[in-house]
Amino acid sequence: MLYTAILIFIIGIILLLIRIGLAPTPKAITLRVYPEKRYKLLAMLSDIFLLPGVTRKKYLSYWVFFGLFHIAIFFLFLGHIELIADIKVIQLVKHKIFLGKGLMGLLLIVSLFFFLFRRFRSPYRELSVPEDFILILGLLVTAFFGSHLNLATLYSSHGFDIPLEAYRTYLGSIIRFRPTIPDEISGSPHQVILVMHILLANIFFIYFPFSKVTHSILTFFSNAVKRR
Amino acid sequence: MVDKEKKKKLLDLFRSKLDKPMQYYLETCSRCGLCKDACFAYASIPKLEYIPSWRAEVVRRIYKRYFKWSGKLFPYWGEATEIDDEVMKQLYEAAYTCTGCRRCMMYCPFGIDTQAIQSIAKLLLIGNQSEPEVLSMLADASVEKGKSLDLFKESFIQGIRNLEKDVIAKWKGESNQIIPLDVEGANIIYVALAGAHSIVPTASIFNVAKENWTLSFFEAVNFGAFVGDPTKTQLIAKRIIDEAIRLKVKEVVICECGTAFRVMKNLVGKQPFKVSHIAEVVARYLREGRIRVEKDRIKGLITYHDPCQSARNGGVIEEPRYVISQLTSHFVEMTPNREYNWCCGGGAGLVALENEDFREKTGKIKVEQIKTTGASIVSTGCENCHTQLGFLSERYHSGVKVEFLTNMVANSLILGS
Repeated sequence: MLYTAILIFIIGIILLLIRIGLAPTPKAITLRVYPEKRYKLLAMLSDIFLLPGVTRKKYLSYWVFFGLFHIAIFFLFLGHIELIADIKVIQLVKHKIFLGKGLMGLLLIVSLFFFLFRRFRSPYRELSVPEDFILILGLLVTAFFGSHLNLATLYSSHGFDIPLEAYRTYLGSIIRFRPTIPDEISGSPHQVILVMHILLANIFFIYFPFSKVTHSILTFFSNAVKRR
Repeated sequence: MVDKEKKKKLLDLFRSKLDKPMQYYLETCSRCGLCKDACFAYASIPKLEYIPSWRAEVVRRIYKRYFKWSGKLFPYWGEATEIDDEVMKQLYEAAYTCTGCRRCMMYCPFGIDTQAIQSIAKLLLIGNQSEPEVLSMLADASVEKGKSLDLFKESFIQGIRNLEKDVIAKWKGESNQIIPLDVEGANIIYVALAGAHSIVPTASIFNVAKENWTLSFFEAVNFGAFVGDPTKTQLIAKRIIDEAIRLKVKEVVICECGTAFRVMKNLVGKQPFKVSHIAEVVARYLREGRIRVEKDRIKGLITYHDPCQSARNGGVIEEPRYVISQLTSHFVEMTPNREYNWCCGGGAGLVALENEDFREKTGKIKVEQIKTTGASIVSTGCENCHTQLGFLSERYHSGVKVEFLTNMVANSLILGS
């Protein structure tokens, strides 16, 4: 299933970009907003990563959780890369895998709860569609399982029974297209948690190209139009 | 009634709007709602229908239903909707309560252009023949004038000659041509609105500046853009483009009409001439010393309303301020201002529709903004804004006088060398 999920993810994204790439270019010279910025790329990156329009007092909590959410996603991505192999650059700051000693998973969960509860309030509730809730809930459950695995490894008084080497063997075998599940995983009483984490991650990958999460890619294009 | 055949036609129209930026906008929204407080209408009347992302969502739900696999297979997932009469009503509500000011774009994390999305709604309404008839009629009249100028030419020239005595009264100059027409090789072709207020002050300024200019036979306002018809928008702009090319002018100067300026400057492609807003030209004359004005001839505290289309969407932001700085020592900024200024609520042809109650109520935020400045004069550089601000001043009994920038300059001109 993992290969299918990754394949759908990649093909879906490529098809989306091809479809948009083949769409006509507007006749307009520019669709930007003014004043024209001297450093357009910097202005665009600032729009994307700092959300200058959101730093109003009223939305400060959103701005904080938006930041925490994306920082957590970034660090968790690095953590998953380190689960495959030792990456020296990431280990410049010596740490146990994952970076942040479990905090990033928790930050992700707290941010997701913020986004979820925010949608319970009017008018955000009326603006939302089922996809919005299901996506948050799906990510929450995935993060719960993942965080449990990480926290248990780091802080369980008896140690956690799936060692890092087992993850590396498993993920390495996937990359080599010879998937094997090490005994430490298949024999672990906690394997259900890992299976659920991977299953939900697969579903997320499959759904990604068809969902609003494509904003993580398209925001670079739409914000470029705003500044170009 | 939206039958099968009409639905197909509407979907073809929808498809015709799916260029690259539009697809970014339709695919990207996460419905975070951060745009809600950016809209003047929602800020004045907190109604779901006035939230920019809701306006966009009405269009996006159709997009999902007909152009996305997820919407075709699982319509309930994203509340994808079929095109029907109810949806057409929603589209009307969304499109004709939006001035296309693009203030929400400043606050949207993805820079989604609600005005662009509303252009789909407007085109679908045209396809369904449920757009505001008055806007379509005005657009048709403009297109027709472009086709048969000879029919209008004589009466237009007569009307212009009648205005010349007003120009002389302001300018006190003498020339063979007070308001020149059809001047080949002129530096500037000035595109005005149909009305003395748009021609007389500017003609005085051009003449004092000893500009080699000519007046366009066509009015600047683009009702095609207001009604959201891309073909008519092009045709209306093309009349002016053709005239400018025929006369071999160097610069097309658009009067105080924000939409006309943005359409000509940014939306109809690259032209073989420079496009300027009249405020830019006046600022240039003042900087070059080609005109001089008497400071503080106009009494009272003055504030400036940035028209959305010429400022945030057209880049004319500092020039009007420079002009005002030459006119008065008593200037106060609105808060917020420049690209963050509140829309007055009159744009996109809304002032031409029968919606006075809506315009009055949604203008509340603008009225409060002006009141806070303590100014007795609001200057602006857009016809729609001028009309709406005047309307708000009257309805809210605020006693604020609304002035065109060019009129203030013309009234302050120092004549003679």
